Amino acid sequence: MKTAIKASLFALLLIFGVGIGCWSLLAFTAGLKQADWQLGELLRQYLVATGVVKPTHTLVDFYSHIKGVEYLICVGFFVAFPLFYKYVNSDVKKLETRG
Amino acid sequence: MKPLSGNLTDAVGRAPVISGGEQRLLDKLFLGLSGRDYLTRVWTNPLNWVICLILVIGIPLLCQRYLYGLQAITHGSQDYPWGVLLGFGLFGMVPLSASGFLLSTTVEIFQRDDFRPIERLALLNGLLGYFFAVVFLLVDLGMPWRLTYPMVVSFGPAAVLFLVAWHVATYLSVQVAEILPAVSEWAGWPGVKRFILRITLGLTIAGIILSTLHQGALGALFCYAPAKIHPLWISPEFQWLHFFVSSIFAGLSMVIIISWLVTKTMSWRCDHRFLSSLDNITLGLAKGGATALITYLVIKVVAVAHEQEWLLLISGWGFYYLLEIALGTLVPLVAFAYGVRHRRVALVRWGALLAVAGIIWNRLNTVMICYNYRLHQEVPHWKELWVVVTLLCFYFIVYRFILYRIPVLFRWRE
Repeated sequence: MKTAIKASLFALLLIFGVGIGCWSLLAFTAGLKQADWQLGELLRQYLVATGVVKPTHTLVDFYSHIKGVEYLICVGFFVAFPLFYKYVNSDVKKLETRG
Repeated sequence: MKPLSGNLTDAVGRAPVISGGEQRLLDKLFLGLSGRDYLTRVWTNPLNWVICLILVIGIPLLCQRYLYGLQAITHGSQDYPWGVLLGFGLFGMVPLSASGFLLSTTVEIFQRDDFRPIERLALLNGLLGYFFAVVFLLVDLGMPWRLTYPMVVSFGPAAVLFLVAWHVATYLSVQVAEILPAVSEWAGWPGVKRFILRITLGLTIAGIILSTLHQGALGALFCYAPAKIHPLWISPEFQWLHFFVSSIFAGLSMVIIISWLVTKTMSWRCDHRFLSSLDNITLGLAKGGATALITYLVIKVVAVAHEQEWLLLISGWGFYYLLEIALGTLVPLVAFAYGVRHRRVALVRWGALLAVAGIIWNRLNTVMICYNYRLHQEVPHWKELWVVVTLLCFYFIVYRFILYRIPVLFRWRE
Protein backbone atom coordinates (compact mmCIF):
# COMPACT_ATOMS: atom_id res chain seq x y z
CA MET A 1 0.00 0.00 0.00
CA LYS A 2 2.77 2.34 1.09
CA THR A 3 4.81 1.48 -2.02
CA ALA A 4 1.81 2.13 -4.24
CA ILE A 5 1.27 5.58 -2.71
CA LYS A 6 4.97 6.35 -3.14
CA ALA A 7 4.87 5.23 -6.78
CA SER A 8 1.80 7.37 -7.54
CA LEU A 9 3.38 10.36 -5.78
CA PHE A 10 6.54 9.87 -7.83
CA ALA A 11 4.50 9.61 -11.05
CA LEU A 12 2.57 12.78 -10.13
CA LEU A 13 5.79 14.66 -9.41
CA LEU A 14 7.28 13.38 -12.66
CA ILE A 15 4.27 14.57 -14.68
CA PHE A 16 4.37 17.93 -12.91
CA GLY A 17 8.12 18.23 -13.49
CA VAL A 18 7.83 17.34 -17.16
CA GLY A 19 4.97 19.84 -17.54
CA ILE A 20 6.96 22.64 -15.92
CA GLY A 21 10.02 21.67 -17.97
CA CYS A 22 8.07 21.77 -21.26
CA TRP A 23 6.49 25.08 -20.33
CA SER A 24 9.91 26.59 -19.42
CA LEU A 25 11.46 25.32 -22.64
CA LEU A 26 8.59 26.70 -24.67
CA ALA A 27 8.72 30.08 -22.90
CA PHE A 28 12.49 30.21 -23.32
CA THR A 29 12.35 29.34 -27.01
CA ALA A 30 9.55 31.82 -27.64
CA GLY A 31 11.47 34.48 -25.74
CA LEU A 32 14.58 33.77 -27.78
CA LYS A 33 12.63 34.03 -31.01
CA GLN A 34 11.19 37.37 -29.90
CA ALA A 35 14.71 38.57 -29.09
CA ASP A 36 15.85 37.60 -32.59
CA TRP A 37 17.66 34.54 -31.19
CA GLN A 38 20.06 36.68 -29.15
CA LEU A 39 20.67 35.21 -25.71
CA GLY A 40 22.19 38.45 -24.40
CA GLU A 41 19.14 40.45 -25.45
CA LEU A 42 16.81 37.93 -23.83
CA LEU A 43 18.78 38.14 -20.59
CA ARG A 44 18.66 41.95 -20.74
CA GLN A 45 14.91 41.88 -21.19
CA TYR A 46 14.62 39.46 -18.29
CA LEU A 47 16.70 41.70 -16.02
CA VAL A 48 14.57 44.71 -16.97
CA ALA A 49 11.31 42.77 -16.57
CA THR A 50 12.26 41.54 -13.08
CA GLY A 51 13.29 45.05 -12.02
CA VAL A 52 16.92 44.19 -11.38
CA VAL A 53 17.91 46.75 -14.00
CA LYS A 54 15.97 49.99 -14.15
CA PRO A 55 16.77 53.60 -14.95
CA THR A 56 17.62 55.73 -11.92
CA HIS A 57 17.57 59.50 -11.95
CA THR A 58 18.96 60.51 -8.57
CA LEU A 59 21.64 59.23 -6.23
CA VAL A 60 18.94 58.41 -3.67
CA ASP A 61 17.12 56.32 -6.30
CA PHE A 62 20.35 54.54 -7.19
CA TYR A 63 21.25 53.68 -3.61
CA SER A 64 17.69 52.67 -2.71
CA HIS A 65 17.70 50.33 -5.69
CA ILE A 66 21.09 48.68 -5.15
CA LYS A 67 20.49 48.34 -1.41
CA GLY A 68 17.17 46.65 -2.13
CA VAL A 69 18.77 44.14 -4.48
CA GLU A 70 21.66 43.54 -2.05
CA TYR A 71 19.15 43.01 0.74
CA LEU A 72 17.38 40.32 -1.27
CA ILE A 73 20.69 38.59 -2.04
CA CYS A 74 21.66 38.66 1.65
CA VAL A 75 18.28 37.28 2.77
CA GLY A 76 18.69 34.51 0.22
CA PHE A 77 22.18 33.79 1.57
CA PHE A 78 20.96 33.70 5.17
CA VAL A 79 18.59 30.93 4.14
CA ALA A 80 20.97 29.17 1.74
CA PHE A 81 24.07 29.14 3.93
CA PRO A 82 22.66 27.10 6.87
CA LEU A 83 21.15 24.64 4.38
CA PHE A 84 24.48 24.35 2.58
CA TYR A 85 26.33 24.01 5.88
CA LYS A 86 24.00 21.22 6.93
CA TYR A 87 24.42 19.52 3.56
CA VAL A 88 28.22 19.61 3.78
CA ASN A 89 28.40 18.56 7.42
CA SER A 90 26.19 15.50 7.23
CA ASP A 91 27.56 12.37 5.61
CA VAL A 92 25.22 10.31 3.51
CA LYS A 93 24.06 7.39 5.64
CA LYS A 94 24.93 4.02 4.22
CA LEU A 95 21.90 1.97 3.25
CA GLU A 96 21.47 -1.21 5.20
CA THR A 97 19.53 -4.15 3.89
CA ARG A 98 17.97 -6.73 6.14
CA GLY A 99 19.39 -10.08 5.31
CA MET B 1 59.57 8.15 -8.51
CA LYS B 2 61.59 6.80 -5.61
CA PRO B 3 64.93 8.47 -6.05
CA LEU B 4 66.15 8.42 -2.49
CA SER B 5 64.09 5.82 -0.78
CA GLY B 6 66.62 3.04 -0.66
CA ASN B 7 68.53 2.36 2.53
CA LEU B 8 67.55 5.46 4.42
CA THR B 9 66.13 3.91 7.55
CA ASP B 10 68.23 6.14 9.73
CA ALA B 11 67.72 9.27 7.76
CA VAL B 12 63.96 8.91 7.79
CA GLY B 13 63.01 10.63 10.96
CA ARG B 14 66.27 10.30 12.82
CA ALA B 15 69.82 11.35 12.30
CA PRO B 16 72.20 8.40 12.31
CA VAL B 17 74.28 8.17 15.43
CA ILE B 18 77.77 8.70 14.16
CA SER B 19 80.49 10.40 16.08
CA GLY B 20 81.81 13.65 14.68
CA GLY B 21 79.64 16.73 14.05
CA GLU B 22 80.72 17.19 10.45
CA GLN B 23 79.92 13.61 9.46
CA ARG B 24 76.54 13.91 11.17
CA LEU B 25 75.72 17.05 9.18
CA LEU B 26 76.76 15.41 5.92
CA ASP B 27 74.58 12.41 6.73
CA LYS B 28 71.64 14.70 7.30
CA LEU B 29 72.28 16.60 4.09
CA PHE B 30 72.87 13.51 1.95
CA LEU B 31 70.11 11.52 3.65
CA GLY B 32 72.52 8.93 5.00
CA LEU B 33 74.11 8.26 1.60
CA SER B 34 77.66 8.92 0.54
CA GLY B 35 78.18 12.01 -1.63
CA ARG B 36 78.79 9.86 -4.68
CA ASP B 37 75.67 7.72 -4.12
CA TYR B 38 73.58 10.80 -3.54
CA LEU B 39 74.75 12.45 -6.77
CA THR B 40 74.18 9.21 -8.69
CA ARG B 41 70.60 9.09 -7.47
CA VAL B 42 70.10 12.76 -8.28
CA TRP B 43 71.30 12.28 -11.86
CA THR B 44 69.28 9.15 -12.46
CA ASN B 45 66.06 11.02 -11.81
CA PRO B 46 64.73 12.24 -15.21
CA LEU B 47 62.84 15.11 -13.56
CA ASN B 48 66.16 16.62 -12.50
CA TRP B 49 67.28 16.61 -16.14
CA VAL B 50 64.19 18.57 -17.14
CA ILE B 51 64.84 21.05 -14.33
CA CYS B 52 68.46 21.30 -15.42
CA LEU B 53 67.43 22.06 -19.00
CA ILE B 54 65.08 24.83 -17.82
CA LEU B 55 67.77 26.34 -15.60
CA VAL B 56 70.43 26.25 -18.32
CA ILE B 57 68.32 28.68 -20.36
CA GLY B 58 66.63 30.44 -17.41
CA ILE B 59 69.68 31.52 -15.43
CA PRO B 60 71.27 33.43 -18.36
CA LEU B 61 67.87 35.08 -18.90
CA LEU B 62 67.87 36.15 -15.25
CA CYS B 63 71.37 37.60 -15.72
CA GLN B 64 70.13 39.39 -18.85
CA ARG B 65 67.29 40.91 -16.84
CA TYR B 66 69.69 42.31 -14.23
CA LEU B 67 72.27 43.51 -16.74
CA TYR B 68 70.01 45.07 -19.36
CA GLY B 69 66.86 45.86 -17.43
CA LEU B 70 63.30 44.59 -17.37
CA GLN B 71 62.65 45.54 -20.99
CA ALA B 72 65.15 42.90 -22.10
CA ILE B 73 62.90 40.06 -21.02
CA THR B 74 59.37 41.51 -20.74
CA HIS B 75 56.89 43.51 -22.78
CA GLY B 76 56.26 45.72 -19.74
CA SER B 77 55.20 49.27 -20.53
CA GLN B 78 53.52 52.26 -18.92
CA ASP B 79 50.21 50.74 -20.07
CA TYR B 80 50.97 47.29 -18.67
CA PRO B 81 53.36 47.71 -15.75
CA TRP B 82 52.62 44.30 -14.25
CA GLY B 83 53.33 41.19 -16.26
CA VAL B 84 53.32 37.48 -15.47
CA LEU B 85 56.18 37.95 -13.00
CA LEU B 86 53.89 39.84 -10.63
CA GLY B 87 50.51 38.68 -11.94
CA PHE B 88 51.38 35.06 -11.27
CA GLY B 89 54.42 35.25 -9.00
CA LEU B 90 53.16 37.77 -6.49
CA PHE B 91 49.38 38.09 -6.85
CA GLY B 92 48.91 34.39 -7.60
CA MET B 93 51.36 32.90 -5.10
CA VAL B 94 50.26 34.95 -2.08
CA PRO B 95 46.66 33.64 -1.85
CA LEU B 96 47.96 30.09 -2.32
CA SER B 97 50.20 30.68 0.67
CA ALA B 98 47.37 31.48 3.06
CA SER B 99 47.58 27.86 4.19
CA GLY B 100 50.03 28.73 6.97
CA PHE B 101 47.81 30.98 9.01
CA LEU B 102 44.69 28.92 8.26
CA LEU B 103 46.08 25.64 9.58
CA SER B 104 47.99 27.18 12.49
CA THR B 105 44.72 28.87 13.54
CA THR B 106 42.84 25.59 13.20
CA VAL B 107 45.34 23.63 15.26
CA GLU B 108 46.72 26.14 17.76
CA ILE B 109 43.67 28.35 18.39
CA PHE B 110 40.74 26.00 17.77
CA GLN B 111 42.69 23.00 19.11
CA ARG B 112 41.72 20.75 16.21
CA ASP B 113 44.35 18.11 16.80
CA ASP B 114 43.00 16.01 13.93
CA PHE B 115 44.65 18.52 11.56
CA ARG B 116 48.00 18.45 13.35
CA PRO B 117 49.64 15.95 10.92
CA ILE B 118 49.31 18.47 8.10
CA GLU B 119 50.04 21.65 10.06
CA ARG B 120 53.74 21.76 9.30
CA LEU B 121 53.18 21.12 5.60
CA ALA B 122 50.72 24.02 5.53
CA LEU B 123 53.20 26.25 7.38
CA LEU B 124 56.00 25.31 5.00
CA ASN B 125 53.75 25.90 1.98
CA GLY B 126 52.89 29.33 3.36
CA LEU B 127 56.50 30.23 4.09
CA LEU B 128 57.84 29.14 0.70
CA GLY B 129 54.92 30.72 -1.14
CA TYR B 130 55.54 34.08 0.48
CA PHE B 131 59.29 33.80 0.15
CA PHE B 132 59.09 33.10 -3.55
CA ALA B 133 56.48 35.82 -4.02
CA VAL B 134 59.17 38.17 -2.70
CA VAL B 135 61.71 36.56 -5.06
CA PHE B 136 59.36 37.20 -8.01
CA LEU B 137 58.99 40.78 -6.77
CA LEU B 138 62.77 41.14 -6.53
CA VAL B 139 63.22 39.99 -10.12
CA ASP B 140 60.57 42.48 -11.22
CA LEU B 141 61.98 45.38 -9.16
CA GLY B 142 65.55 44.70 -10.16
CA MET B 143 67.07 46.63 -7.29
CA PRO B 144 67.07 44.35 -4.25
CA TRP B 145 68.94 46.87 -2.14
CA ARG B 146 65.89 49.14 -2.33
CA LEU B 147 63.60 46.52 -0.84
CA THR B 148 64.26 47.94 2.61
CA TYR B 149 63.18 51.45 1.63
CA PRO B 150 59.65 51.19 3.08
CA MET B 151 61.16 49.75 6.27
CA VAL B 152 63.91 52.20 7.14
CA VAL B 153 64.52 54.86 4.50
CA SER B 154 61.22 56.19 3.22
CA PHE B 155 58.12 54.93 5.01
CA GLY B 156 55.32 56.29 2.83
CA PRO B 157 52.54 55.20 5.22
CA ALA B 158 49.82 56.67 3.00
CA ALA B 159 50.46 54.00 0.35
CA VAL B 160 48.83 50.60 0.29
CA LEU B 161 52.19 49.20 -0.84
CA PHE B 162 53.64 50.35 2.48
CA LEU B 163 51.08 48.17 4.23
CA VAL B 164 51.78 45.25 1.91
CA ALA B 165 55.57 45.54 2.25
CA TRP B 166 55.49 45.67 6.05
CA HIS B 167 52.96 42.89 6.37
CA VAL B 168 54.80 40.55 4.02
CA ALA B 169 58.11 41.25 5.77
CA THR B 170 56.76 40.76 9.27
CA TYR B 171 54.61 37.79 8.31
CA LEU B 172 57.59 36.11 6.63
CA SER B 173 59.47 36.51 9.92
CA VAL B 174 56.53 35.00 11.81
CA GLN B 175 56.39 32.07 9.39
CA VAL B 176 60.13 31.45 9.72
CA ALA B 177 59.61 31.32 13.50
CA GLU B 178 56.63 29.00 13.13
CA ILE B 179 58.60 26.47 11.09
CA LEU B 180 61.64 26.71 13.39
CA PRO B 181 60.55 23.84 15.70
CA ALA B 182 60.79 21.47 12.72
CA VAL B 183 64.16 22.89 11.68
CA SER B 184 65.47 22.76 15.23
CA GLU B 185 64.52 19.08 15.53
CA TRP B 186 66.52 18.38 12.39
CA ALA B 187 69.45 20.58 13.39
CA GLY B 188 69.47 19.47 17.02
CA TRP B 189 68.60 22.78 18.68
CA PRO B 190 66.23 21.79 21.51
CA GLY B 191 66.47 25.23 23.16
CA VAL B 192 65.16 26.98 20.06
CA LYS B 193 62.24 24.56 19.83
CA ARG B 194 61.31 25.06 23.49
CA PHE B 195 61.40 28.84 23.08
CA ILE B 196 59.24 28.83 19.92
CA LEU B 197 56.71 26.44 21.47
CA ARG B 198 56.30 28.87 24.37
CA ILE B 199 55.36 31.72 22.03
CA THR B 200 53.36 29.66 19.51
CA LEU B 201 50.03 31.22 20.48
CA GLY B 202 51.42 34.73 20.05
CA LEU B 203 52.94 33.81 16.69
CA THR B 204 49.65 32.33 15.50
CA ILE B 205 47.67 35.42 16.48
CA ALA B 206 50.28 37.64 14.83
CA GLY B 207 49.99 35.45 11.72
CA ILE B 208 46.22 35.87 11.61
CA ILE B 209 46.41 39.65 11.94
CA LEU B 210 49.21 40.13 9.44
CA SER B 211 47.96 37.66 6.87
CA THR B 212 44.32 38.76 6.82
CA LEU B 213 45.32 42.40 6.59
CA HIS B 214 47.76 42.05 3.76
CA GLN B 215 45.68 39.57 1.72
CA GLY B 216 43.05 42.31 1.74
CA ALA B 217 45.65 45.01 1.15
CA LEU B 218 46.77 43.28 -2.07
CA GLY B 219 43.20 43.67 -3.30
CA ALA B 220 43.05 47.26 -2.14
CA LEU B 221 46.14 47.90 -4.26
CA PHE B 222 43.94 47.80 -7.36
CA CYS B 223 41.94 50.76 -6.07
CA TYR B 224 44.88 52.87 -7.29
CA ALA B 225 43.67 52.38 -10.86
CA PRO B 226 39.96 51.56 -10.67
CA ALA B 227 39.17 53.03 -14.09
CA LYS B 228 41.76 50.91 -15.89
CA ILE B 229 40.43 47.53 -14.77
CA HIS B 230 37.23 46.14 -16.22
CA PRO B 231 34.41 47.00 -13.76
CA LEU B 232 33.54 43.34 -13.22
CA TRP B 233 37.02 42.64 -11.82
CA ILE B 234 37.24 45.74 -9.64
CA SER B 235 34.85 46.74 -6.92
CA PRO B 236 36.49 49.33 -4.68
CA GLU B 237 34.22 48.62 -1.70
CA PHE B 238 34.61 44.85 -1.88
CA GLN B 239 38.02 44.28 -3.49
CA TRP B 240 39.84 43.67 -0.20
CA LEU B 241 37.11 41.25 0.88
CA HIS B 242 37.23 39.35 -2.42
CA PHE B 243 40.98 38.93 -2.11
CA PHE B 244 40.81 37.91 1.52
CA VAL B 245 37.96 35.38 1.22
CA SER B 246 39.40 33.89 -1.96
CA SER B 247 42.72 33.37 -0.18
CA ILE B 248 40.96 31.09 2.32
CA PHE B 249 39.84 28.49 -0.19
CA ALA B 250 42.98 29.02 -2.27
CA GLY B 251 45.24 28.23 0.71
CA LEU B 252 43.19 25.20 1.72
CA SER B 253 43.07 23.90 -1.86
CA MET B 254 46.83 24.32 -2.21
CA VAL B 255 47.42 22.18 0.90
CA ILE B 256 45.08 19.53 -0.48
CA ILE B 257 47.06 19.42 -3.74
CA ILE B 258 50.52 19.50 -2.14
CA SER B 259 49.62 16.73 0.32
CA TRP B 260 48.27 14.69 -2.59
CA LEU B 261 51.48 15.21 -4.58
CA VAL B 262 53.76 14.24 -1.69
CA THR B 263 51.88 11.00 -1.14
CA LYS B 264 52.28 10.21 -4.84
CA THR B 265 55.93 11.21 -5.21
CA MET B 266 57.56 10.80 -1.79
CA SER B 267 55.42 8.47 0.25
CA TRP B 268 58.63 6.97 1.70
CA ARG B 269 59.12 10.28 3.51
CA CYS B 270 55.62 10.33 5.06
CA ASP B 271 54.99 8.53 8.31
CA HIS B 272 52.00 6.35 9.11
CA ARG B 273 50.28 9.12 11.07
CA PHE B 274 50.35 11.40 8.01
CA LEU B 275 49.33 8.79 5.45
CA SER B 276 46.55 7.22 7.51
CA SER B 277 44.89 10.52 8.41
CA LEU B 278 45.29 12.26 5.06
CA ASP B 279 41.92 11.33 3.56
CA ASN B 280 39.99 12.58 6.57
CA ILE B 281 42.11 15.73 6.70
CA THR B 282 41.51 16.33 2.98
CA LEU B 283 37.75 16.08 3.52
CA GLY B 284 38.02 18.40 6.52
CA LEU B 285 39.95 20.97 4.50
CA ALA B 286 37.38 20.68 1.72
CA LYS B 287 34.59 21.45 4.21
CA GLY B 288 36.33 24.70 5.08
CA GLY B 289 37.01 25.37 1.40
CA ALA B 290 33.35 24.82 0.49
CA THR B 291 32.07 27.34 3.04
CA ALA B 292 34.69 29.87 1.91
CA LEU B 293 33.76 29.28 -1.74
CA ILE B 294 30.03 29.86 -1.23
CA THR B 295 30.77 33.02 0.76
CA TYR B 296 33.08 34.24 -2.00
CA LEU B 297 30.46 33.51 -4.63
CA VAL B 298 27.82 35.49 -2.77
CA ILE B 299 30.01 38.53 -2.13
CA LYS B 300 30.93 38.53 -5.83
CA VAL B 301 27.20 38.70 -6.65
CA VAL B 302 26.72 41.41 -4.00
CA ALA B 303 29.55 43.40 -5.63
CA VAL B 304 27.84 43.17 -9.02
CA ALA B 305 24.59 44.36 -7.43
CA HIS B 306 26.34 47.14 -5.54
CA GLU B 307 27.94 48.53 -8.69
CA GLN B 308 24.75 47.89 -10.71
CA GLU B 309 26.74 45.92 -13.28
CA TRP B 310 24.08 43.41 -14.32
CA LEU B 311 24.06 44.57 -17.92
CA LEU B 312 27.84 44.12 -18.14
CA LEU B 313 27.30 40.44 -17.46
CA ILE B 314 25.64 39.97 -20.82
CA SER B 315 28.54 41.42 -22.78
CA GLY B 316 31.57 39.49 -24.09
CA TRP B 317 33.63 40.41 -21.02
CA GLY B 318 30.63 39.43 -18.91
CA PHE B 319 30.51 35.94 -20.38
CA TYR B 320 34.27 35.66 -19.78
CA TYR B 321 33.68 36.73 -16.18
CA LEU B 322 30.90 34.18 -15.77
CA LEU B 323 33.17 31.51 -17.23
CA GLU B 324 35.82 32.35 -14.64
CA ILE B 325 33.24 32.20 -11.86
CA ALA B 326 31.77 28.94 -13.15
CA LEU B 327 35.05 27.07 -13.63
CA GLY B 328 37.05 28.63 -10.81
CA THR B 329 34.38 28.87 -8.12
CA LEU B 330 31.15 27.05 -8.90
CA VAL B 331 32.63 23.74 -10.10
CA PRO B 332 35.08 23.48 -7.15
CA LEU B 333 32.21 24.39 -4.82
CA VAL B 334 30.07 21.52 -6.14
CA ALA B 335 33.08 19.16 -6.14
CA PHE B 336 33.92 20.01 -2.52
CA ALA B 337 30.33 19.81 -1.24
CA TYR B 338 29.47 16.59 -3.07
CA GLY B 339 32.89 15.08 -2.36
CA VAL B 340 32.71 15.78 1.36
CA ARG B 341 29.15 14.51 1.71
CA HIS B 342 29.84 11.32 -0.24
CA ARG B 343 33.45 10.96 0.99
CA ARG B 344 34.91 11.13 -2.52
CA VAL B 345 38.47 12.21 -1.78
CA ALA B 346 39.59 12.06 -5.43
CA LEU B 347 36.76 14.40 -6.45
CA VAL B 348 37.78 16.82 -3.70
CA ARG B 349 41.36 16.80 -4.97
CA TRP B 350 40.33 17.56 -8.54
CA GLY B 351 38.08 20.32 -7.18
CA ALA B 352 41.06 21.74 -5.28
CA LEU B 353 43.11 21.72 -8.47
CA LEU B 354 40.40 23.68 -10.25
CA ALA B 355 40.10 26.12 -7.34
CA VAL B 356 43.84 26.82 -7.42
CA ALA B 357 43.79 27.26 -11.21
CA GLY B 358 40.72 29.50 -10.83
CA ILE B 359 42.36 31.78 -8.31
CA ILE B 360 45.50 32.16 -10.45
CA TRP B 361 43.25 32.88 -13.44
CA ASN B 362 41.36 35.50 -11.42
CA ARG B 363 44.57 37.26 -10.40
CA LEU B 364 45.94 37.18 -13.96
CA ASN B 365 42.64 38.61 -15.18
CA THR B 366 42.75 41.42 -12.65
CA VAL B 367 46.43 42.24 -13.18
CA MET B 368 46.84 41.71 -16.91
CA ILE B 369 44.01 40.46 -19.07
CA CYS B 370 41.25 42.80 -17.88
CA TYR B 371 43.70 45.57 -17.07
CA ASN B 372 43.54 48.36 -19.64
CA TYR B 373 40.87 46.32 -21.36
CA ARG B 374 40.10 49.18 -23.72
CA LEU B 375 43.68 49.18 -25.04
CA HIS B 376 45.68 46.49 -26.82
CA GLN B 377 46.13 43.18 -25.05
CA GLU B 378 49.60 42.54 -23.67
CA VAL B 379 51.14 39.26 -24.74
CA PRO B 380 53.97 38.23 -22.41
CA HIS B 381 57.48 37.85 -23.83
CA TRP B 382 58.63 34.23 -24.00
CA LYS B 383 61.66 35.17 -21.92
CA GLU B 384 59.41 36.42 -19.13
CA LEU B 385 57.49 33.15 -19.18
CA TRP B 386 60.76 31.21 -19.12
CA VAL B 387 62.01 33.23 -16.15
CA VAL B 388 58.74 32.49 -14.32
CA VAL B 389 59.19 28.76 -14.99
CA THR B 390 62.84 29.04 -13.88
CA LEU B 391 61.81 30.59 -10.57
CA LEU B 392 59.15 27.91 -10.17
CA CYS B 393 61.91 25.32 -10.62
CA PHE B 394 63.89 26.94 -7.80
CA TYR B 395 60.69 26.88 -5.73
CA PHE B 396 60.28 23.18 -6.47
CA ILE B 397 63.94 22.39 -5.67
CA VAL B 398 63.81 24.19 -2.32
CA TYR B 399 60.42 22.66 -1.46
CA ARG B 400 61.69 19.14 -2.23
CA PHE B 401 65.01 19.71 -0.44
CA ILE B 402 63.20 20.71 2.76
CA LEU B 403 60.55 17.97 2.59
CA TYR B 404 63.25 15.30 2.16
CA ARG B 405 65.06 16.42 5.29
CA ILE B 406 63.08 18.49 7.78
CA PRO B 407 60.40 16.63 9.79
CA VAL B 408 57.36 18.02 8.03
CA LEU B 409 55.71 14.84 6.80
CA PHE B 410 56.96 12.69 9.66
CA ARG B 411 57.64 12.88 13.37
CA TRP B 412 61.24 13.23 14.43
CA ARG B 413 62.45 10.38 16.58
CA GLU B 414 64.99 11.59 19.13
